[in-house]
Amino acid sequence: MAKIDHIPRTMKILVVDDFSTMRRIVKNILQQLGFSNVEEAEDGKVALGKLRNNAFDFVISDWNMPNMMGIDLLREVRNDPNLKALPFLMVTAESQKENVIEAVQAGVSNYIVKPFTADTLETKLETIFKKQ
Amino acid sequence: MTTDNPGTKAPEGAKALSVVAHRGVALVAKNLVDELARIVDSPSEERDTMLRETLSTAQTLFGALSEEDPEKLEGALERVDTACRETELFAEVGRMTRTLHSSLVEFRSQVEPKLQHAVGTAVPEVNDKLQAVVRMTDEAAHRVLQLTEQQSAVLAEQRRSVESLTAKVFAGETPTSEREWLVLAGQVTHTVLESCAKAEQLNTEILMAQEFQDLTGQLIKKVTRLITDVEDGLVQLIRIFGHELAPPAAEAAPASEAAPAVEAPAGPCSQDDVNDLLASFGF
Repeated sequence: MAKIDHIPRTMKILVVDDFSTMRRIVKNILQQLGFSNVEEAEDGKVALGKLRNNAFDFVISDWNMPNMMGIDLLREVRNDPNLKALPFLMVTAESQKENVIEAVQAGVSNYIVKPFTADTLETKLETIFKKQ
Repeated sequence: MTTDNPGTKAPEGAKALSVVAHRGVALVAKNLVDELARIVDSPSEERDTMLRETLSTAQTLFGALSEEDPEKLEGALERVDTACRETELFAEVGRMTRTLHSSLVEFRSQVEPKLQHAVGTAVPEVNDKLQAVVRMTDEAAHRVLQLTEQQSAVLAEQRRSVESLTAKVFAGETPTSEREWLVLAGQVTHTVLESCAKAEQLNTEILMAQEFQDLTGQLIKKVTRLITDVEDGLVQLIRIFGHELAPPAAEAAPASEAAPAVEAPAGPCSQDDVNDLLASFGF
């Protein structure tokens, strides 16, 4: 856990996934890593609403969701002047090369494929919030 | 998901059959037109006779085309077949008609019941079973997550108890008598053993929560069988009407302008593959 000690544990995180079990798992892992200021959203549309009305520091999102997909949420975030710099991690079962490229071109901060380990999440957090 | 009862699916099955049969009959009609073209080039004495007979056959054929009821359609095709036999001119038309007729009979006796079953029963059943699988796996996952959270709580409590009991010792305030040492050892032991018992019990419950897999596995097997049945029916249908399944069009590789130089595998990527790909973008 030393590699992410510098990240403030009060960081406000939004977890977006249409499966409640996945949201719970991600939330639990974040809790184990010391982050308990975590909120949830079940699709991109709900997530966007929450992001616009609250000050979040980090978004973890799935790709396939009803109402608004994760990739579209990412585009909305990057197009919004108030949200464009928000760190955005994609955690998804979409593992084709094309998906990763599309996410990168849309401005994703990093990409995790399911199934994933707590270690991977921790490593990606370290990469995204690199000590300046 | 619609909840039509199977009875309302019967006309749809007949309609589908009718569409396919119409196409078959249209093919036969085209053949007839080709025959007509040949007649035009024949010597004039025979031409009139041939034309009259052709017209008669064509009328019977187009009469068949106007039939929507599959049974009447079969009957009309039989009449066309007879007409073709009588003239000897339309051997090809006759042959095709007979093939189409026997195909229709085979369809109605074997394939149509299967497709009726598929649409009326199998598909709704598949939906129900898959929904049950989703529900059971969701419940099991939540149950196990809850149990692991309880485990974490038990272990945290154990840690807190032991730390609290031994705080003084590690701060330098050691017990002064042997009796006090024994009491402390007893308290710590008791705490640890109690936690072990609780953790063991939770482990058993986590084990039991995996029983969903047996049930969902059986449901999924049933779904696979149902889908295979439907597939069989469709393949028979395609075979009967003489079309070959076209091979799937080769997928053209997407020409991405920002394609990285890294050679990534064509199929799904592992996290390592994804990391390599990200690295090529400078992540």
